[in-house]
Amino acid sequence: MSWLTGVMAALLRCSAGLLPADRRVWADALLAEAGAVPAGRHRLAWLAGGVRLTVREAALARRLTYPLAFAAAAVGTAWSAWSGPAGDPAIVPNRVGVIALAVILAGLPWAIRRVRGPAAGGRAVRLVRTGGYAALLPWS
Amino acid sequence: MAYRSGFSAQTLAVLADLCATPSRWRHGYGIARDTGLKSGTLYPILIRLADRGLVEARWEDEQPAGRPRRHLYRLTPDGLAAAAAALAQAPSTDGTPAGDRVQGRRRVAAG
Repeated sequence: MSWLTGVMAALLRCSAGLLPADRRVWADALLAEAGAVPAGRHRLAWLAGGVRLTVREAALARRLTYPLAFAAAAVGTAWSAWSGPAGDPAIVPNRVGVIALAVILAGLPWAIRRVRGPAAGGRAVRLVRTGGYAALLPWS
Repeated sequence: MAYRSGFSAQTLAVLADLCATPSRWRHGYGIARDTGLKSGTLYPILIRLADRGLVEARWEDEQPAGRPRRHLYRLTPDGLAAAAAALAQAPSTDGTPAGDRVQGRRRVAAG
């Protein structure tokens, strides 16, 4: 049980990194409190609640929503491009194209964020970003 | 379930617990133990209450030996007023007005 508690504590520390700075203090607080909780299943449940808290707060802060939506879209696109009759010469270029597109779509925002800083908030910006991704999906 | 005050039953339980000893700084596990709430339920409530300025939070001043510093919570004056109003409106399960329950807990804590 103690190893599982250690794993859960590590998971909580990692997931706390998903939170905005003003929310991270709450995950730290929950983690600091874990030492006071009786060892065993009570402490494990306490830490599991902390992981649930961080995931929910990260989702509310949209830090989890976009990566998850992107991952789901990338998996769906890859799955649709991966299938095909064996020996079809178009399959390999298709697969390479899908992988390249996914890498570009994931890497470009990351690279731009490093150079220009985070994108502005607001509904219009989100719509443009989501629309851009959606427009690229049929093309892929 | 949300009551007329807009607070859920769990939030009211947290408010009642903090209201029982309003001047005392409480730690998360103590509140969880008193209210029976799990950490995944309690901390989101504390976060929302802190966002609304009803609960204030701070870390322990000194580093205790053998354990990390704990995060402490108590009601702000606004929180105390909001809690008293919400608890007075909330239905009780034992037929006792919620406000009386809080007063009773205060008496126990003071005694």
